Amino acid sequence: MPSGSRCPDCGSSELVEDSHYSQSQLVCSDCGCVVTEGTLTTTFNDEGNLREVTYSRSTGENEQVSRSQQRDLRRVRDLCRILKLPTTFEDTAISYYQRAYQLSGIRAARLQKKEVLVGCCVLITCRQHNWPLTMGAICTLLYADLDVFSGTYMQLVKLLGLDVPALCLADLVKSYCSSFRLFQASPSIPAKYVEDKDKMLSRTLLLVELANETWLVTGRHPLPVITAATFLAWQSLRPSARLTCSLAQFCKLANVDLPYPAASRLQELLAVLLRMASQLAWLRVLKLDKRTVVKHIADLLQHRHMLVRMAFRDGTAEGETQKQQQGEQGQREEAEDSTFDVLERKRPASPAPLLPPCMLKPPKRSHPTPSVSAVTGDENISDSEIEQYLRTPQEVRDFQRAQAASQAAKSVPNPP
Amino acid sequence: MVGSPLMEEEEDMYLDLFLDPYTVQDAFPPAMSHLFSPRAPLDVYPLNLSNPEAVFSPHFGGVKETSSDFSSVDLSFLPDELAQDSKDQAVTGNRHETEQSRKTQDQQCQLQLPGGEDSGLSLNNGSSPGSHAHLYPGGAAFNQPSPEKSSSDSLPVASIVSMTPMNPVPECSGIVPQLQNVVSTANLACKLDLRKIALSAKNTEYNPKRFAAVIMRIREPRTTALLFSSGKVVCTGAKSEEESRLAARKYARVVQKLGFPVKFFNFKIQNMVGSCDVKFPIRLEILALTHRQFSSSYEPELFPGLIYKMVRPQVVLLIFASGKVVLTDPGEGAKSSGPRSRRQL
Repeated sequence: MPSGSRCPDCGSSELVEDSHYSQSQLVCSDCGCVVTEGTLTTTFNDEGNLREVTYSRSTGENEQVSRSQQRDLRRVRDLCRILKLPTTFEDTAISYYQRAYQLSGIRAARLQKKEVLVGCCVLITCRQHNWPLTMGAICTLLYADLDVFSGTYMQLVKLLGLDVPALCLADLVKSYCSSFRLFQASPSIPAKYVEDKDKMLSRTLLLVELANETWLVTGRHPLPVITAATFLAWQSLRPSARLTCSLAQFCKLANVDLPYPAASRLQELLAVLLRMASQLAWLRVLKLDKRTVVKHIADLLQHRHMLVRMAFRDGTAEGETQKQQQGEQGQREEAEDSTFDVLERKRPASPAPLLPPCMLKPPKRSHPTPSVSAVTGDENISDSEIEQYLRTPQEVRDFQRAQAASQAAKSVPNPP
Repeated sequence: MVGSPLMEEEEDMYLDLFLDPYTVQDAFPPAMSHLFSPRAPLDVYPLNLSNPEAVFSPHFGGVKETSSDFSSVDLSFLPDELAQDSKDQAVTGNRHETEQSRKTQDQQCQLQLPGGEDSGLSLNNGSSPGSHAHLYPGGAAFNQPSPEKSSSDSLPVASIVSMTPMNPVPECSGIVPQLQNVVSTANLACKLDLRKIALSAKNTEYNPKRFAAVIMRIREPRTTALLFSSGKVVCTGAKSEEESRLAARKYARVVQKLGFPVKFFNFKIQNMVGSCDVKFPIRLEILALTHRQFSSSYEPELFPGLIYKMVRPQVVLLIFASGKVVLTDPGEGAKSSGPRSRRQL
């Protein structure tokens, strides 16, 4: 708070520095009058109002830093302010940009790349502070292509030798869920669809954790999984009213884009839940399907650790049985086998191995492994083999005639 | 039925140990001896030795001594070769790092050893579904260098290897990468008339507006070549270096028959791509966490696989959650020995 300056309207000294998106403003907290605004004052006036002026805005820096770099540094700051990041992030991102600019590969790059570089620096800063920002979000803000962005990002990480931690899933869930417009009644949202934020958040977190444990998250884009989990959580909190709502409708209501893979993630998650449900005695008799299992998600989540263990452990128990059967076994093993069989009969048949979905699909027709050919590389090449690839003179002439004819046909203008 | 309740309670106990990351190491010494006495399926081990997959086991045994020791062992002095094998083991042992605590500040090697131990636990836990069970009994055998396991032939190997941890363990996991593609270049040392080649040869494509080279294909060995007007040739699609060389010579012969004075200089293998399958799922996020300092990059938003840049030998591994691994050349910055050393890999 600058001391000694007063609001020109009401004369109070309660002046607050507040940023309106990317424009820094000095605002009177009593009457709301904007005392100074980014572009409307000169440095001299700012200094007259006893506001400290950052070096990057003062006249001193202009001489040392090139114009494009200045512009991009300003863009970095603007991006940080738009995303409402803490001020320390800004400084870190700026320093990364300056370091990157030292490298000749970046300095000579196209303007498009430099624009994308701004986003890369902000993204790296956020990742390092575990701030959940996805690449898709940055790309939409920059109007950049994800391919260009990914290339620049990988290059930057390699050149600067940075250690960028992975996206923090829990924080991403919290920030993404908070963006769903379902927590307050509004004219577009029926009352039965409005939900309490904390309940939905906690249930979504549990579902995402379950998905992580059952291999639905490894190797995939994290956002569609979270969308599917949010949808299931929302449905399960009031299934009677919400089962009729589809995933697409849900996203439209919540004013959130539906990512394309979310539908298949939803199916995978429901399949996992169904398998878990088959382990609970009181659910087994209900013969659940993908729609009705939603009603019981609360129970399933409550006992999820045990259910996952039970539902998916059967697979290896069977595998071990088979293994033991194959070895020369004594009676002890035979007794165990019979024990296993008895247990198998008691438990429902659900020998699902806990594998990522890509391993569960039937294997593609694999190419027959090529026999190890004893090719030395120095064999004789017969003339006849080479002749088969050459055209005879007659064929050459025919080909040339055909080519000329097609060229002529192309060059003749179409009849009107 | 004595075995059954004991077995179940053991399994639950090991499951709890397995799933609770902080008790794993502490509980090892008492738990391990308990593990094998009642129902160790020891007879499985000699069977596995004849199985090529079981040569996996010395691999595990090589990097660990006794279960209680390694929490105090400082492995930062280990040479590169052992670290290299630990990395290989990391790929194979990572299934169990899911259950490991996030000890990211530990040395990479220290993290490998618990991975190996967990695999031993998992035999009796039965919580390693999806992986072939026979891969693990071999590993489990080495967790127990206790005298009563006289039936296991592999024990002497374990004791020898444990005495000399610094020796690099040879690659003997039984998984052999298959070569999928070999790219090579050669110099024909004469200027080529691309239009004439495209006219006189049947197996060619030439579109000068799109790309300034003739694309020629031959059937045996099934390859594709790019012929440039400077006389340089790029040959791709061969399944081995010898095949690539033979194919390049055949392309040179074709061009020679068209009347150009070709020679065959500077044949060089530029890149080799291989793939293999470790047959168990891999937790890529854990692998990325433990190998961050060794230039592994896992960005699920961009690419579903983890890109691991191995330093010695210089290869790039693309590791996928399904257990499939693709090995290839890193490109610029690679030493020329890259392709050959990948052959050894």
